[in-house]
Amino acid sequence: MLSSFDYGSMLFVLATVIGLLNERFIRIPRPIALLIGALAVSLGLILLSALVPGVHLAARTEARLADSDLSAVLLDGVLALLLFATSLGTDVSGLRRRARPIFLLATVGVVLAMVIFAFGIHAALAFAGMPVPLGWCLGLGAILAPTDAVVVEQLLARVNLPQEIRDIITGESLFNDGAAVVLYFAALATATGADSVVGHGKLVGTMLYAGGGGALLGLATGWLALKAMQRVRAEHLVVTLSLALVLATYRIAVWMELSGPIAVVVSGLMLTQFRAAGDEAAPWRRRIKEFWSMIDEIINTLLFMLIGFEVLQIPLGAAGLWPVLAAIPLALAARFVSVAVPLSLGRRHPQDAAAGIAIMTWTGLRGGISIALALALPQSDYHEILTAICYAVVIFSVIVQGLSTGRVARLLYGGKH
Amino acid sequence: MWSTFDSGALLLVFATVVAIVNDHTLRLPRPIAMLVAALAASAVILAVSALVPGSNLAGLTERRLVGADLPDVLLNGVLALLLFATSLRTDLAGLRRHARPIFWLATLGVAIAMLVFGIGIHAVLRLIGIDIPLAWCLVLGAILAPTDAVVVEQLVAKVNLPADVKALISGESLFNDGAAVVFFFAALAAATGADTPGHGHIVLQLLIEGFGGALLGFIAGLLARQAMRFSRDPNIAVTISLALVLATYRSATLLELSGPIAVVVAGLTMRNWPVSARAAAPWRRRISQLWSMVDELVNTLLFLLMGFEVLTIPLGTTSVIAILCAIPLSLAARLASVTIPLAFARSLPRADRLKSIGVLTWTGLRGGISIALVLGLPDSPYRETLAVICYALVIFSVVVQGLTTPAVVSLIYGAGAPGAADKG
Repeated sequence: MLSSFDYGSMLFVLATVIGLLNERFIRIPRPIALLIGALAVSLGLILLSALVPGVHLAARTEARLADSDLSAVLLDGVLALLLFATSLGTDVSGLRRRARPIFLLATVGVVLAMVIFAFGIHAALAFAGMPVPLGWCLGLGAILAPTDAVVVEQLLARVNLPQEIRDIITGESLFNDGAAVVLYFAALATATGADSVVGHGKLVGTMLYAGGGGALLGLATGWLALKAMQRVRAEHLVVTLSLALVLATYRIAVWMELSGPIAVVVSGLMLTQFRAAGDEAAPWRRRIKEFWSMIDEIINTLLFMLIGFEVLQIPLGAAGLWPVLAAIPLALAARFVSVAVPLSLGRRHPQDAAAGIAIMTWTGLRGGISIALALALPQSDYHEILTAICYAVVIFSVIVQGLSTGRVARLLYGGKH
Repeated sequence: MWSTFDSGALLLVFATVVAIVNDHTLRLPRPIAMLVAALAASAVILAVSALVPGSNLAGLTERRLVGADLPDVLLNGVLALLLFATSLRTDLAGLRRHARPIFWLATLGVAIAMLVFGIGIHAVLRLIGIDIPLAWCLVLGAILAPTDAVVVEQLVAKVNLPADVKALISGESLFNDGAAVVFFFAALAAATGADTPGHGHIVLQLLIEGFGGALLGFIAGLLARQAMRFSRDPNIAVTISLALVLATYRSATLLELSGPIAVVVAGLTMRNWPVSARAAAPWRRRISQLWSMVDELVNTLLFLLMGFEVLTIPLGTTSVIAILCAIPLSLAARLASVTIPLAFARSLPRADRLKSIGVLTWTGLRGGISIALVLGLPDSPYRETLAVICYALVIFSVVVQGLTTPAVVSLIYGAGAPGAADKG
């Protein structure tokens, strides 16, 4: 009997091999390399089981993935850890200067992206003869609205962009998860008819309550952790303390029906960015960053490989192919509008606006959180087609958009800025 | 809905508070502080649920924290991670001076401790009317044979001992885990009747498992080291070391070799081969950072859990008597297991040997490995009794022996002996 421990060890060995090969021969950002590697292995498994009779490797891997209840683990724990790790690496002064566009992108932008994509995909699916109710389409729109903070971060490290755009992109990717998660649950509630009284006003109220309350909670726990940290002489305690901070904040938020993602991000910012005089160079600050960059590394390694393997779970019939293909340009269009509107609202001089909007549209990579939300969709008749569309958009955005971002940036901004 | 993450969050918050309070008041070694605090919290919980009718707090905690049957992943994983982390901290070059006594302590000593304690507890339990087959008693002996590297290290750092004795103590605690785990699985196989081995068979099996595991670990460690040198990105080192631990442990289990030994050897090889290489490659720093943190975290959680396990112990008169007999017995077993191998320790002057035997006996704290092993015992009618004795001994050794070590050391060596008084 293979345990999940075995699968863990296989994943890490595979990740090592792919990482080494990539570093030596290919040199693309590591999450993208891992995703492509896992996709290649999945294809190999499928081919092998198709060609060699009696070998059911693909089916076995698939069964194993389906068993492992990934969605619960991802949503309950991994997401919190990831967001916290990303928030620790963020430069908060940059965020503060761009607070307005970031706020607009993470709220209005997310709603726009969700609504446009949902109506578009609803029409496309109806056209292809497999109608899906609008409620479910809105759920899918919410799943695909947030950009992935982690991939975006790694991507930005490699391209040459004006600092302002950089700050906005990072800030947006950090904060749009919160709004998207709230919208996702609201859309699901309408789709499954759990409560049919989700009016527009109530939705906005929930978003504000969950977001604002989450931020307050994060501020409070982050401040507590900071005070605790300043009183401790043993610097190795940072590991226990920061883990306690993340998990407890996230669970309390969930328990109070606030936004866990936002609470965790704010608590991380509070802990590392709020500097008392004379405390800047305390050794624990370095230590905490080191620890979380490693956690980040490990979780992302696993996450992107899992995304690659989840392909095995998609039953791709010819009928589903057209809506899936249509979803890709549709996602780009929705992203474009969701960026263009908030940016023109938030800006006083629109000279550079066009280039900024274009680059932000193209760097809107989806990732871990979309996959986690899609996996968490309740069973229904539409489950398969919805997850298929979600994977297609995520994989396209990571591989195609991710790999071409450098070129697009050079095209838009010239060799330098 | 209560999830594992909730329990994790609670435990970690508790650990943080305890660590901070301890830092400012008592300044105990951290594992000891964790254990004492968890014990105190358990006592409070028990008292509350006894006094306030209707609030079944103890039952609740038990179900949530302890009885939330720690998944297999944790049991298998924790052991591998702990051993690997410990082996990475080991500097072979530093141990070489005392290689002989350490070798004997970690092999012969472990065997003696297991046999003396196993046979003794078998007799004692029979006297008070609990009949447990000898094989199961030997399992318990193996569980309680290894000393805990993490606690011992923290303890030794705080007292004033001759450097020779310090090196012996920490070297022993690093290496006896491997032998103990092999003995544990051998005794377990005999106890569950998986195969009915004769004495020759057991020895042969031990040799195959041990050496096969060591070989596997050596090869895996070399491979991992080559991979690290091949790469310039220190981030990959993190992935590589995780892959090394998990893959080595699982392939050892698959091949029916000793996983613990394979993991320890893999870690030693990766860090120390060739022994002369002391290059400050960035991956070395990165890896030792990661693993010292893992070590820290796993130990914090293990010692907390250990304290809360008290809630699950059904304390009757017979088990109290059994525990009271087991404590001197385990000290006697430890004394025997230290005395005989130290006869080989020519590096110590004869006059010092008696003193070092005394100190080594008293500093033989049990800890994480023992708990991890006992949690992994398969279900049997004897599991509960064995677990109770194991917890009691671990707790006694950590709390009583751990806290009195400074006093005992200054008693043995005289207040001012090797240096100044012990200031932590």
